Amino acid sequence: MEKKKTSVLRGILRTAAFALLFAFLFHAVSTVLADKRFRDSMAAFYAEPRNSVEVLLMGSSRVHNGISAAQLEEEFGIRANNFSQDGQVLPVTWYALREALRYQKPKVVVLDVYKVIQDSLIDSPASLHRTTDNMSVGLPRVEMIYDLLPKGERAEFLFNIITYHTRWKELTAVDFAPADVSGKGDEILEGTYQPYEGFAVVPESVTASGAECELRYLDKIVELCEKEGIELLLVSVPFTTAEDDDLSRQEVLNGMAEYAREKGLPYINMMHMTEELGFDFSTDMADMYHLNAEGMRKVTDWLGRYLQQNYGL
Amino acid sequence: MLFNSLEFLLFFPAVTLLYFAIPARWRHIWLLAASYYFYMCWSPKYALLMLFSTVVTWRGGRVIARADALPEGKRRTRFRKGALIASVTANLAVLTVFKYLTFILENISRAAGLVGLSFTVPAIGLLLPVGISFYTFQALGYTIDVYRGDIDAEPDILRYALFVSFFPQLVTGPIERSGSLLRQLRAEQSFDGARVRAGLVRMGWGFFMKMVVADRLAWFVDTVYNAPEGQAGSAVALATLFFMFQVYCDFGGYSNIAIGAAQVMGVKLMENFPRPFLSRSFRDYWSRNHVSLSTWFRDYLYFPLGGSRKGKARMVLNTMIVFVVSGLWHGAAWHFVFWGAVHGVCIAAGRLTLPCRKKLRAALHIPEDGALHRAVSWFLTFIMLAGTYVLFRANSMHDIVTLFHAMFCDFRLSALAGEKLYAYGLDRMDMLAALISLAVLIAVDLLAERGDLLGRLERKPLPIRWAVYLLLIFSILIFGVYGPEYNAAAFIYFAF
Repeated sequence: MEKKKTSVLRGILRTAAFALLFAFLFHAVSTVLADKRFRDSMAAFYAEPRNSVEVLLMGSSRVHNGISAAQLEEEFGIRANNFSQDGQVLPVTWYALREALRYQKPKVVVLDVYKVIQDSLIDSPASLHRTTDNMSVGLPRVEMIYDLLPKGERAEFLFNIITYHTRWKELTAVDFAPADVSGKGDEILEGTYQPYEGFAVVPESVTASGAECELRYLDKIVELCEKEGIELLLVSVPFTTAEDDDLSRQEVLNGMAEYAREKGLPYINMMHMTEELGFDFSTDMADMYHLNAEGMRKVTDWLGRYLQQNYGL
Repeated sequence: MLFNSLEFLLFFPAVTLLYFAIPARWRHIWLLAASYYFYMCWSPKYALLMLFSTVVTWRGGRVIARADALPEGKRRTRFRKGALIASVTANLAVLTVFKYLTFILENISRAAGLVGLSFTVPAIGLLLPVGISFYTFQALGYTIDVYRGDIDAEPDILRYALFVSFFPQLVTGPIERSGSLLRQLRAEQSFDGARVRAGLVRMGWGFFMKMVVADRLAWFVDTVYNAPEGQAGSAVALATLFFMFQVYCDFGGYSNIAIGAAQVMGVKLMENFPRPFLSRSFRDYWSRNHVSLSTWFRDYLYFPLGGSRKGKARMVLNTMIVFVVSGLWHGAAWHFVFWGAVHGVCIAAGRLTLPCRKKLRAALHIPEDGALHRAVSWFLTFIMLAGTYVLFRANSMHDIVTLFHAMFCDFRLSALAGEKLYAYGLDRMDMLAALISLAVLIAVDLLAERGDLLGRLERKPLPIRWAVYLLLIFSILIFGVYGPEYNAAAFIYFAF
């Protein structure tokens, strides 16, 4: 009997040891195979000392490429981090913010509201991967996956090896190197984009409503910031559109002024501040919707001063 | 539910853990519920067909058993035969309607056209129920076994329903015999660590065969076979070679997963694909390829027809009947019938020429077990088998002509030269992965041919065993074909 007990115990211990070894290797292999596009920028956030960030930049690619946390720190002495990702719609931002608040207690969250134009829980599986792949394992990540995705599509986000295992064919030294955490999460785009001839800024008075789904999650973000005592600054950086802008982007972002008024929040729609910013659509855009290095510099320069003047940073 | 799906990765451990946790008297009911759930994940309404087959064959078995208690005489015979015929007819009728009706009507339409009559085939719209050919044959085997007195009729319908629906082998076999599986389902299985480990390794190897080898080779095979016009013979030849291994790894992989899963629960299923491409004759091939089906046909069709006991002509006829039916079992299409007939001819010819070949070998002083004879017989068998796989994979009889024409009249080796080799659905790296995984498969098969490979692995020191387990798991995770880029490919034999 004693012998049998020992044998059972040995079996359990061996199984547990094997499971641990497997889990370790599974994590290592998943990490090597994962896409590295946003690895460094998000790792830079986790590398910040706890509760050291004063300004957190959140939202879509238009903040990722449009406002520089590094410039805020270098030129204005504001400790900032850019925790945005390409294609991040507001439902994703809501969970990303909850994740960020597990590590930092910023004074101000600068939130890009551009995605209120888009009525969807996620932008695309690829864009959601950019966020979930690089988040730490915690409740916000799991909740995000269960909340935003239908039943059959969650597994590839919980275990991203399901998506990335085919990358074994394209692995390079970068995939095996540790993340570079020297940045602040910004991404600078080069090149210049010329908007179509006749492109014009739509007057502020012409408005349209944001998407219901996005506003629902924006409400949650507003509530969370209030609860946590965090100042929320809504922004929209300059952008151009296609001639047949079927989403009426400018009108929707004009309409956000009304939302901000209702909530008692500041909203900076930079489409109508080009003179103040010194912004030129013909030289400061990298593509139709994103700023280039020069555009980013101008916007950040203005925003840095605004933050200093209004938040005592 | 597919074996190569995340659902199964959750389903199987949950079912197994609870299976060992609950009292033995409830286990068959638990497994029955799990098996029906497994099947109903695919289509709840078609589970009714399985239930129908179960009830009819179980009832048939009970009637035969009751008739057995009657005194010898016409009444007893009438009851026994009546129950047998009713059970077989009802099951084959369902199989015919769901699998062959469209095929039959199409051929009637064609025949009518030949004599100047017009007959439009109505759209029937019936989906082929997954695994119907497998569970129907298994259930029919039970009825015949009871009729022959090989086994006693099962009194417990729930246990019998589990015999028909046992989820590891439900949709793609092995087609088990009642004498073996029912007996095991009655026995109380205890947890045995070594057996569970061996079962899991077996499952892992099955997943490797399916996900790493078969599904990758399928890209090349599909590219060539789905557009045969204008293909070079060299591409057809390579696609055929790949298809041979695709089918083996697809079906053999499934069988390994099924056998391993059953082994975890203490049930031993029959070997189904013991290395078919090491065969040295067509007869040898059918003792290694889909063994559970070929022995089913042997036991329930070939022997009752008289086998080889009634002279050479009857042997040839019986062999042809068995293989044409086998062809039809594989699919309702003429190219499957043709494929079966060719196998029948090869088997019959092999048996008829055996004495001549023996004499020839003796005259040339070639020992039967000599290396030369082994190599030549293996090579010739392999080449001829390859030809039959063209019949099996081609999408139509017309394609068969096109494909053979390409191989014999337009070989063009240059079509596979250099970078052109990577234009058939497998890029350079995938081709490399395909070839390496094939090499691993062949090496493992050769080692397994020499004895119990899993047993040998079990006797190795722990670090070596763990290294093998991890290598197997991560080979599947990294090189397997799965995930959002690809739909989990259904097993080829699901359609049979």
